[in-house]
Amino acid sequence: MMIKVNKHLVGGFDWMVFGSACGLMAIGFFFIWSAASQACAFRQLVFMGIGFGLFFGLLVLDYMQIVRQAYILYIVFIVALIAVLFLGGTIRGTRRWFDLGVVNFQPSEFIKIVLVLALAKYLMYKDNYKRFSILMISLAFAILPMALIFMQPDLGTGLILLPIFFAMVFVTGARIKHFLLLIPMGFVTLPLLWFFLLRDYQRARVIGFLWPSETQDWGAAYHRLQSLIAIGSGCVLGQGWKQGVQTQLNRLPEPHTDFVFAVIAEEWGFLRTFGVILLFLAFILGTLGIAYRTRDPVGRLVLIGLVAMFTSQIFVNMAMVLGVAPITGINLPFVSYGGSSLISSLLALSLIINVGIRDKIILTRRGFR
Amino acid sequence: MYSNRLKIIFGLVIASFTVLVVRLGYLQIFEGAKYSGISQKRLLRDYSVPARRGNIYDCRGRPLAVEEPAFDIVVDYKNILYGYLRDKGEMPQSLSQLKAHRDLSAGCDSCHVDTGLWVTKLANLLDSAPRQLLGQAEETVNRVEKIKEQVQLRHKKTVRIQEEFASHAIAKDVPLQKAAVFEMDQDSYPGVSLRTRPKRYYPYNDTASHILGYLGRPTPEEMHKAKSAIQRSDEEYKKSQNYKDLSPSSELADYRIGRAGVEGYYDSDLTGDPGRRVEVISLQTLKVDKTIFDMPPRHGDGVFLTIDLDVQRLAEECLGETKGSIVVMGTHTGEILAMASYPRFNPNTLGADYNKLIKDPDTPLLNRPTQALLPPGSTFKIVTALTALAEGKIDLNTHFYCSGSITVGEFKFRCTSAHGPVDLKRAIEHSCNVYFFETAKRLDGRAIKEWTEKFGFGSETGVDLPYEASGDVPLPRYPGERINVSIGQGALVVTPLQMTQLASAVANSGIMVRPHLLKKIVADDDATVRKVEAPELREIDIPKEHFPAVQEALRQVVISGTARGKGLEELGVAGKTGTAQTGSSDKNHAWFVGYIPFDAPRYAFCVVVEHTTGHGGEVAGPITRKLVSGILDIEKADKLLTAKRTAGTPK
Repeated sequence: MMIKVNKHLVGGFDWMVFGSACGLMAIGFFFIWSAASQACAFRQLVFMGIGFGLFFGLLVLDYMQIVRQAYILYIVFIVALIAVLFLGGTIRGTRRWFDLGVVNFQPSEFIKIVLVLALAKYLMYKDNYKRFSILMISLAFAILPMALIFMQPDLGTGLILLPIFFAMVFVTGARIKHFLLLIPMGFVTLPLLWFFLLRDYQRARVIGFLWPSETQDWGAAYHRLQSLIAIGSGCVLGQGWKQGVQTQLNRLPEPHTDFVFAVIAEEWGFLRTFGVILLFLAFILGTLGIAYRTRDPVGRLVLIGLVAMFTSQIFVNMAMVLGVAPITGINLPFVSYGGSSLISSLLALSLIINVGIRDKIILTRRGFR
Repeated sequence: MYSNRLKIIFGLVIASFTVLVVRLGYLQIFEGAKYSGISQKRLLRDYSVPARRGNIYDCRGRPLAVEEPAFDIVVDYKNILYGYLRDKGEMPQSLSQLKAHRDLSAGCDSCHVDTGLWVTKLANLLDSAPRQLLGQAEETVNRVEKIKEQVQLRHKKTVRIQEEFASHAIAKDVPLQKAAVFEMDQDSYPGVSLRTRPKRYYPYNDTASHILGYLGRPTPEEMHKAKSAIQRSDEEYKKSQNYKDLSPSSELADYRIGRAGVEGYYDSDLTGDPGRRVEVISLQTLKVDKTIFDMPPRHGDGVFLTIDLDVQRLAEECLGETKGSIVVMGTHTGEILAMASYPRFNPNTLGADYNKLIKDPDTPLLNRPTQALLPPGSTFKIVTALTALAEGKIDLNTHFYCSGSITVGEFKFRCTSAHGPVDLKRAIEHSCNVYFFETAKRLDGRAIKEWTEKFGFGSETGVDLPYEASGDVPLPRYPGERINVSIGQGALVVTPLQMTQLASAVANSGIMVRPHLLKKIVADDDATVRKVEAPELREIDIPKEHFPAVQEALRQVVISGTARGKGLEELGVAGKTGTAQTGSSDKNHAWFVGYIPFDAPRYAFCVVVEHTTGHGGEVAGPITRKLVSGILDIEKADKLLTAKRTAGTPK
């Protein structure tokens, strides 16, 4: 079977975005090796293989074809999120994933991308973006999976859905006035969230973070402290790969998943860790660049959604590791160990590249530049 | 407009990454020096702080089980090993011993000698033979070398295990004076130190020993559970990586688990949760520089029992040195005031006595009130009478003629004597078997079993002690079986506690209470955690009007019946005697089951003497008299004291 390679498509391939993502994955591979084991790192390599298969497979399709199926995908994943509450496997008292043998399938990792697609489809046909009702319906799109993820309970992943919604609606041109209206609504729903959806341990973590002296959750305080010691002791040059005292003595919690950034900081030091942050920045800015260049508003919407998703995830994870945000179970895209997370990140990357290579000439309703 | 908003997004991205970089730089460049000191391998000490086990008290707050310090003399492993090798006077055999030998003798000759010196010095201090200390040393060396061998097999390389760096107990439970002498002169014992360890102490020795229970060493599984609770780390996580063996070392050496009695039943309340402390050790002084993480332990809760130490001691004294049990329980509350069992054991010396105790044919470890399964004998006639009344098979006027025996089929069933014509009250009063044989003939087997079970027989009472026996209520199919069961013989077996429960049910006119030992559980900070408020009640669906006749009959038993002339009448006792046959004629169980006072019952009790030659009234009667008069004396003294206190308090 011959695959015709369209030279025009290859020309639009954004090497900066692709390259920085690959670099991050390579770094992830080596630090999973250091923090956990070689076997663990090679399992991550298998996930990368699966992820790249899906990555190239998805590139064959035009992203518009994918966006058209967004509602179906959305319904499928909502059902999966409901099902996982009843049928899912349990890790530390939460139900997040289905056991599929090779890989644990965690629907909440994929719903983020599906939400981006569904919102893009919903917003692309709207004549008047400025109506309040459209804002509310978009919000409903985000709130439904968010509530289901909270019930797992997984505070962090659920909260990532909010920035996606805000960024996409904001860029389509919703009125600032309407955004401001959401603030009092948020204040009304916050207590509901606090009392009905959050579990005791989650409340303890939030309280423990806001008022450390009153904390009762010693486990979280201990983890934060160990993470700070690891990062601080990395100093400027780091202790060397596989040489970090905190990491190698198992003092870090979850060193190869949620706290992998602390491992990097300890063993690589400030200069190289700064480089890792720059790689992330290159990835995000490259994506924003594609969004800026593309002439298709739908593609742009998808990219903005994905930028919001990645940025908030990176920010929340690093802020948690750096001790400026409460500990919630959010991992670092491309770097942390985990099949579902890595594969969903690669799917998102595929969408980004897809928008880049299919730079359409479309008569938009309003000129962009 | 769009383009502007895209720029705002761009700005937000840049801003959030800037925050991260600034924070990272601050931690690594400005605070880096502070943290890198902390993380150095030997400088950070992370250990668990053991929680103190809760005490057990009686209902007036007198301690029945407390934590006390015990002193052990511990010696560094290398000194133990050297002392052992020098004593053997032979070349070390295994590779690891050889290596240790080389390590130790590498330096100067004087230290070489010193490392073995502790044996003679300690023997002098403790007035014990050096041989004894060396025996302990040999045991330790063998144990550690065995562990090391296994670890090396598993890792397939030479390793040093933490036991080699730790110190091990050479003399346990050193008296306080010796410990003090040692402490003053500690510098002259290099490598030897004193370790304090919590020890359970039972101030009243064998008093209530079965109720209190004892502590034991945890099994490997329990140890593992306790360790994982301390580490609070995740199993999945451990599996996913090559777990580096850093288990909490000897900090769990003193870990004990309640094995029986209240110690076992309320073990989770008594145990508490260990704390955790992370300390920075300064390299220069090797002292604690500062504590950077301090999670205090949650000490175990104190358990207050319903047991009254005075009544318990009285009951044990009444029982004397005869095998049997006594239970005293509040009729309305189900609070057990005393539960005596003989033979007993002394939990303070259990470790030394254990092998002797488990071989003893009299089973001293058995808590007879809840675990002995005995035929109830004539005391069971109470149940037969109430069953027949409830089923309507007899009434108070039903008379049977007792000629001394009856014949059913080819078997002849005997009575104690020929009672002539008897009604229910007289039958209970004189314990006439024939009356109940005739009654049993009218009853159907299923009804007997059902009603017996309604009175709590055949199932556990639910008392808060582990391993309670449930007894057995057979289904009597044939007339002969029914006749046997009607007088508490045959395959029917009950526990003394179940009989006490029956006595209280009769005293309460059909309301059953669940017997219990827990009064309240009090946390370390004196906040009550759990309190037994209302007693658990269950009503038996027998019409109330049937009870007065039975109650009157039970009173008549001590006035003119089988327990007359034992001095029980004056004390206001009502009850039923019983002599349960066990097959051989000189081995009967003597029962007395009843309650006081007969007109307004407060206490139900059960006295049973196992394997005695006498009859129920003769053997159990005098014991009951002593018990009841003692209880009334204690009550009187109590009232006087309360009155004095109220008079003494200013208003």
